[in-house]
Parts: sequence; structure tokens; C-alpha cells
Amino acid sequence: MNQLQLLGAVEIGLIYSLVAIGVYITFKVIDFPDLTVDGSFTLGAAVSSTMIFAGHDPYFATLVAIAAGCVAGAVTGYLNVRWGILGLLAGILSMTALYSVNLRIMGRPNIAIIDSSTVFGDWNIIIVILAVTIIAILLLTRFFASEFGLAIRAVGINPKVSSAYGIKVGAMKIVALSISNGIIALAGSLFAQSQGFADISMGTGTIIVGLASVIIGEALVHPERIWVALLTCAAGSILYRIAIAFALNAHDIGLEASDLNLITALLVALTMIATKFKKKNEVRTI
Amino acid sequence: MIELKNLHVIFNKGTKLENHVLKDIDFKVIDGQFVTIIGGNGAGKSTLMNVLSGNIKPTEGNVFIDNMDVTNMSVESRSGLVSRVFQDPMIGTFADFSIEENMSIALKRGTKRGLAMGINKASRSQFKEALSEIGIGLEGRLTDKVSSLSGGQRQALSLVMATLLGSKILLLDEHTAALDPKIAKKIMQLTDKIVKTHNLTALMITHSMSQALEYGDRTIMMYHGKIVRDMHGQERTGLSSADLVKYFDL
Amino acid sequence: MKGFLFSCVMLTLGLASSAIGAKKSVITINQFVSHVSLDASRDGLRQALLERKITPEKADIILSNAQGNISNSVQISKHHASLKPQFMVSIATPSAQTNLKAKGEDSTLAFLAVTDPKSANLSDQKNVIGVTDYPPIEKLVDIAISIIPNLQKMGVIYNSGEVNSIKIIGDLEAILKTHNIELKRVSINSSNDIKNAMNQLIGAVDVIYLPQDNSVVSAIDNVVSISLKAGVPIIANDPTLVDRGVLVAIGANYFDSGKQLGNMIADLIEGKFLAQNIQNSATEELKINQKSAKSFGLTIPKDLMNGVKK
Repeated sequence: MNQLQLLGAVEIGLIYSLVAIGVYITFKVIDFPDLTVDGSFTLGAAVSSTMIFAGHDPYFATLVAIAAGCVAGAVTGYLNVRWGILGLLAGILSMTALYSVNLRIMGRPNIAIIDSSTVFGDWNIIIVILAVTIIAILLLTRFFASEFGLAIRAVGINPKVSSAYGIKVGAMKIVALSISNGIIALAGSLFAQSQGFADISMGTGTIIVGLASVIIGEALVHPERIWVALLTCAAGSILYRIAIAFALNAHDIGLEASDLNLITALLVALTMIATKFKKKNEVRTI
Repeated sequence: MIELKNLHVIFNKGTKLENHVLKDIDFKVIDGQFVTIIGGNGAGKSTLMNVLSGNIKPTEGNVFIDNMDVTNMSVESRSGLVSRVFQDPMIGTFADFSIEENMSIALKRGTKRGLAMGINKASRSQFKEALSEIGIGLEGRLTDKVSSLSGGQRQALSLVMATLLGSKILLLDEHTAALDPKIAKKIMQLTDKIVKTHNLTALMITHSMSQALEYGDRTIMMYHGKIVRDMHGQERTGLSSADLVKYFDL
Repeated sequence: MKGFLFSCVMLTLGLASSAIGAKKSVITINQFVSHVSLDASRDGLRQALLERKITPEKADIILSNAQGNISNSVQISKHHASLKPQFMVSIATPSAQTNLKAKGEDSTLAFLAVTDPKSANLSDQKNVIGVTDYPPIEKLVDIAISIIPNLQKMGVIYNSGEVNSIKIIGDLEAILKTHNIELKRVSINSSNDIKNAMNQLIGAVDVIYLPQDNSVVSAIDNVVSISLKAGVPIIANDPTLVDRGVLVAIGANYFDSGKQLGNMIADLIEGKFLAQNIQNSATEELKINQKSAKSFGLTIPKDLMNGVKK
């Protein structure tokens, strides 16, 4: 692998670290399997591309994209909390509805914005995304250390006892889903702006990549603190993309890009199995 | 002051599985009273406690706390008035949190949670103080994860968390049943101390007759959803565990 | 800690292993997804390169397939760009877009199977060549009118998520308007919805137009059998579909488009200049299915038959 490939893997890995972080908040912090991801990633891209194409300021467009993602997450939460729809199903419903919503927003399946101005301006894309990721991690760390943030984390650990301590479990879930999907929409928006286009199909498979990154990250360093956990999500995302870059390089041994799905599945499975072995060897304190 | 008026709880009303769990309960507890609750399985003890905490809404009747009708108040809204220690020490605390994180959750019970830091210098010293009262060294282990504590230690922590803000009413749901006898006794002594120190109104479900008589100043016995005996003062002082057991057969 | 060390080792290995220094030209091909037409254009491209003596000794040809996944396409593009190729071939619009972003200044983007390069921001770019597959819709409509008597309503099935279809159908509607023919659109999300869509059109239209749309084309046999049973003929712009039962098609032959691009690339390698960087498909093939015509009870005008390539 050469430097360009490595940088390419890092660039796309960094964008998707925001996805991994968003997935971490739902899957790990509040223990909610949120599948809205595929839809909200595209939503972020759709909203910002449409606005940028229409001539709006890219910073404003990005903020609107984040807000849109928050709304999508809140809808999923509302379906689950208010109407008792199973979390997994609520996410699928939102994701499915978002396909149509995104098409409506864009007005067409693909919008090209390669010649428009983006939040990246003239700066190096990797530097900008690195900055965004670091800021996101810092803000989230501070948030989860606050009274409100602790309450959200409590809901993921023990919902029954949480309500006994005055925590509105439903409201906390909705807020967490909102924040998570807002971050994922941000990722989608940055992706579209860095690649120069948004496409209705770009969200497919995002949840798998997000989960893979979280799992790989956790396997490396078992996180004790939130900021470490978020950092490992980012690391997992980048390592995942590097692994893919390796696989792409291996066309000499007959590996095709079409094998990427299989490789992803293998990578995640092996990582989870390795984690089980690690746990077995740990002495359990009673 | 707690009052239950004309309280009925019926599960699966109108179906084949209809179960009249609490039947026309009229029950008053004055401030500062420590009531022990005994009864066979299915007598309705836990349901009574759940009605007080808000986990179960009564089918009929009302619940008053300090003359406020809290019958339809959610568990969360009631949390400022009512504290609870669960039977299973594993579920009564937040296992993946540290001790101070658990205490922080307890500290904000009944109040709005904002974006201020959940744990700071001031709250830490408050935690240390509260934990040192129980004297098992937890105050020196604030950053340890609760999952590393023993069952007895976790119950002790639960007690401190439940009473940190001095909320008026303490519900104890067989909270020593899952502990081994030596620890159970310690936790009971601790409970007694805390109730007396903070002058709490406490209700304790227990299967131990000796516990029911040794602690508290009033004992009620439930059977098939009704309160069949209500003993305090003179009537209660002379009783022995054997006497209580006899009552079960009547 | 162990994990951290492991990843450090991985990274070092990655940096250490370098690509083999390429003295020969590199031509990369980023195909977005496997599909009859896209595969045909790829094969045409390769054949043309071979015919022009651009053999493996002269140039490394590297082919990758993104499996319909855009983030895969992004990584493939970056991978290809890192090999510093002379030409980065993109088959289908999303691949063209990711290639455009990733390519270096010295590489030339060469695209196939893009219907609307303007909307994809591919036209007016430096170092971009390509063969568009914009179909001869007007000619097709004229042919349809000459074959099908009393043509008043045309139906079209398309996947609303297919960027190529949107443009074509818009233009089709405009052309039909000038002939006073009404267009009835039915959109689908996947090939699963085809049967439903066909049923909506049967009885409501005189002829059905099939755009070059993955979801539609992948269900072609289903579509044809319904059309034959119901007696509603199908027209298209892809001649290969006529063999499957479509009544008449006139349009680009994807294999030939691929060859056209291959020749353009060979021209550039040989130092020649291109007349036009972005060309429309030069070959146009008219195909008619006699059997289908018979079963619909239609007669094909003699002069039309003479224009058919056998």
C-alpha cells in the first residue's frame, strides 16, 4: 500500500468515525439497536447538497443537515417510546420512510456539487474532518459527564432503576437518538461535500460499517471512560478502511472488491471471537 | 404521611386470568413510622409497595402522600417523595457506573438535570461524607465500578443512595433476602440507623419473622390481598416469631 | 495495550509495502455494478484496447467492481488514483463521480454508461473524456408511431432512484407532447414491484417504454411475458432487449460504446487528438422482433425492415 492509499483510507475512515460515534451512542450507551442510520446518513447528504446546489452557504447547509438528522432520530424515538414499537422496527420504519423523503428533498436521485463551495473550502479535507471529529468527541465527553448526560447513560445501564431516580427514560432515549442521528447526518453531509455529490443509494450498508468500527475499536482497547470509547470508535473506523485498502490491493491473489462484504463480515466475526477469548482468560472479581 | 384509600388492584380485568391482587385496602402511615410487612407468597405485599412507588397504577382507589393525590403520578415524578431499595443488589444500582457516578444519579433525584458537571469537588465531598456514615470504606473507592463490589456492599450503597436526599419515604423490598446472614444483619442494622438518623417513614417487606418484630414499630400482615392484622405498641411488643407463624395458620 | 501495539505493527507494514514501480501505463476500470449493459460496455472497451495492440505488456489494466456501494466506489477510486494511472475508466455515473474526485491532475477520466454528464458535472472538466449513452428517443417514438396504429397513450416503468431514467423520461414526455401522445408514469423501488407496475399500465396504455434502468432490465423476462399475454407491445432503446422479446429498440449498443471509448483511449495513447472529448454513442442499431410483431398482429412497414441490422 502506498501513501496515497493510506491517506485515502484515513480520509474516508475519519468521515465514517462520526458514523461509528453515532452508532456507539445508540447501540452501546442506551442499548438501542437503531437502524435509522442508513437513512439519516443519506438525509444529511441530501439536505446539504440540495441547499449547496441552490446556492446557500455551505456552513448553514451543514447545520440544517445536522438538525434534519436530529429530527429523524427523534421520530424513531417517538415511535418507540410513545407507541411502543420495538426499537429495531422503529428504526427500520424511519429508514424506509427516509428513502422517499430523501428523494423528495433532492428532487432527483443524484446531485453533483463538485464545483460548488463546501465547508472544506481550500483546506485539506483530512485536517478539517480530524478537527470536526475531535471537537465532536470533546463535546460529547463533556455532555456525558453532565447531570443530563449521566442520566442518559443510566438509562442504558438500568432503565427500571433509572425511573426510580426520577429519570424520564423515554425522554432520555429520544434525546440520545436525536443526538446520534444528528452526528450521522453530519457525517453524510461531510461525505457528500468531500466527494462532490450526493446519491440516493449512498446510505446502504452504513449501519454495518458503523457497527464494524465500534466492534473493532472495542476489541483493541476495552474502554473504561467515554472519551476513550469514542476515540476507539474513530480508530476502529480508520482501521476498518485500512483493512479494506489492503484487500483492494490484493487483487494479485484474486481478491475482488466484490468480496468486501464477506471480508467485513469475517473481520467483525473474528474480532468478536477474539474478544470472547480475552474475556475467558480474565479473572472475574466477585 | 401515607394514605391508601379504597385501593383495588386487579390484573387482567375481565379475562379468564383475572387476579384481584389488592382488595379494598385502607392503610395509613404517619410520619416517622417504621412498618414491617409480612405475608405469604401472593398476599400482595410487593404489589402494595409497587403502588406506593408508582410502578403499578391502582385499578380503583387513591394514593395520598402528604395529603397530595399521587395516584396517577409516574414513577419519575414520584421519585422525589419515595425512595426504594430493591431485593436484588445486582439490579438496584448501576453496575457499569462507578460509586460516585451512582451517587450523582441519586443526588439529582427529583430535580431537573442540567448540563452542569455531574460530579464536581462539592458533590464529591458530599458523597464521601454520606458514605463514611456507613463505615465500610466505600468513601475511599469513589471511582471503583460498582460491579466490583460484593452484594452486601452494593445493598449498603443502595441504602445510602436511597437516603442521600432525605426523601421522606423509604421502601425496602426484602432488601436483605439475597444476602448471606452475617451481611444481612449488618445491612439491617445500617438500615435501622439510617431510618432513625434521618427520621424517615419506612416500609419493609420481609420473610423473616424475627426481622419483622425486631425492627420497626408496627407490623402488618397481608393475606389474599387484604391486610388481616395490624399490630403496634403493646399488642406487638410481647410477640415472638413463633406467635407470628401461628397467625399464618389462622 | 496489546491491541494498540498490534495496530502500530499493521500500520508500519502497510507503509513499508510499496506498490511495484510501474514503468508501463496503467489503465484502471471502476465498474459500479454488474449488469448486462455495463458488462457489455466493459467487454467492448477491453476488446478495442486489444485490437489497438494495448496488450498486458504495454499497459496494466486493473478492474474493480463496487458492487453497487458508493463508499466502496470511493475507496476503489482512491486506490486506483494512487496507482497514478494514465486513464481512469468509470462505468456508470456514481463511479464517474467518485473517480472525478479522486483522480490526480495527470490522469484522464474516461466514462461509459453515463446518460447526463452535464448534471453529473462531468462536462466542462479538464482531462475528462467519455461516451454517453443518451438514447435516440425521438427516432424511437417515430418508429413506434409508424408501427402501432392509433398510438395515443404510452406507459413507462422506472426506478425513481435511477438518475439516468429521470432525465430520459423528462425528455420523452416533451417529445410525446409534440405528437399529442400522453405519458403515464409508474415508478418502482426495486424489481419486486415490476408485476404490479405492469398491471397498472396494461389496459391503460397502447405501448410501454422501458428505460435503461437496472431494476427494470433485470426483470425483463417477466415484463415481456406479461406484455405478450396482455397484447401490449414494449419499446426500448437497448437493442439487446429485443432478443428477449421487446418489440422494437433503437439505440446504442453498449458493447460498441465500449469499443468507441477504447478507441478514444488508444488514440490518446498514440498521441492523436480527439475530435470531441465527450461523444455520443456513434453506433446506432435498430432491432425488431418479428415474432412479437406477429403476436401483436402488427405489420412492420417495408422501409423500416430494410434498416434493420441482422
